Amino acid sequence: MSAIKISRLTLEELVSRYIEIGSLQYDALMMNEIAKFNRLFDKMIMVEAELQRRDGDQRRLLLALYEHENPHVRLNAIKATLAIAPEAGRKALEALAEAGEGYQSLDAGMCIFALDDGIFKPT
Amino acid sequence: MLVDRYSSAGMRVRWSGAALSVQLRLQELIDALKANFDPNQPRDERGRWTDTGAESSGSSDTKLRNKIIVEAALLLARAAAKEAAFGPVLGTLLNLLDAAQILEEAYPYISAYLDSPKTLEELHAAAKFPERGYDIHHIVEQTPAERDGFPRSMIDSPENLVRIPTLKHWEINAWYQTKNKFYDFKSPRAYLQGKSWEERVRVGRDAMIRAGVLKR
Repeated sequence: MSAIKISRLTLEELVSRYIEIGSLQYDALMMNEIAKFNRLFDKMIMVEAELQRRDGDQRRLLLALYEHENPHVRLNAIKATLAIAPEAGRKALEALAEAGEGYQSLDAGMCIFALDDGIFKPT
Repeated sequence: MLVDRYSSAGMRVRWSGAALSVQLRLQELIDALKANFDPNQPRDERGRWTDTGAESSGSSDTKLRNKIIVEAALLLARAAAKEAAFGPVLGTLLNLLDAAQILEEAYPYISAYLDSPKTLEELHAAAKFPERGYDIHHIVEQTPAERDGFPRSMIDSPENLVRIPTLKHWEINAWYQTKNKFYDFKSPRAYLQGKSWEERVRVGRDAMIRAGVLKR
């Protein structure tokens, strides 16, 4: 989806698209479809940028996804909101890192290391 | 903390729902597997089905069956890991193993996946004894390291080799290849290009810790 098309989506549609992308990434990982995962990552970044661009930084809508049933949607939402909800995001990352979710727990744990080391500075 | 998180009634209901969806998906996979199962078909040295006995196969049926095995093994391993942590919610799910032809294929991988974290010394020592359900893993990824000019003597040194569960190995490999915000929107593999051996070791060990393979 192009940047122009994304700019026409409502907030609700953007969040729906965000959930869809995360779910597709989860499936891609399960089938070891790395190239597909990475293409979806680029799309996810576009949706996050559009949410941030909307009045009042609407990435805060992603906070509701901390409890989403799909662990990859959860992981994406946590990492996308670390700049606007650092404490809640950190807590959610720690919980996901210990949740036994395979790739998603591994990445949540590595994200904690990256935050603590100063490699990752959420913006 | 983890147990507290899952001890509320609400969380138990959600987890039961998730268990049911895993169970349904697993049953689909087992049905798909049974539909075209030939126990006499040749396998490669890792136990995967092949058409000819060679490692790779061009058959879509064979690829599909191997994908089914991978997905089912991952589902079962994760479900079993959660059951170990949260109680016998998924007992019925694991009982499906008895009824499924998948048992022979998936069991060593699931069993290995449930290993508790080990010390680096234990993982190094185990690397001398290959076993089904486990892979020999290079802590510093071998191909990128070779491309960056590190000698094979370093890459294949005993200090860089560990034996880890195959399914954990796949998760770590997938993580290395997937784009990530905290590595400048690159994959960890791309991020580490041109970095020192020590930096690669640090990331490699951290990943093993976070994958539940290496003791902290």
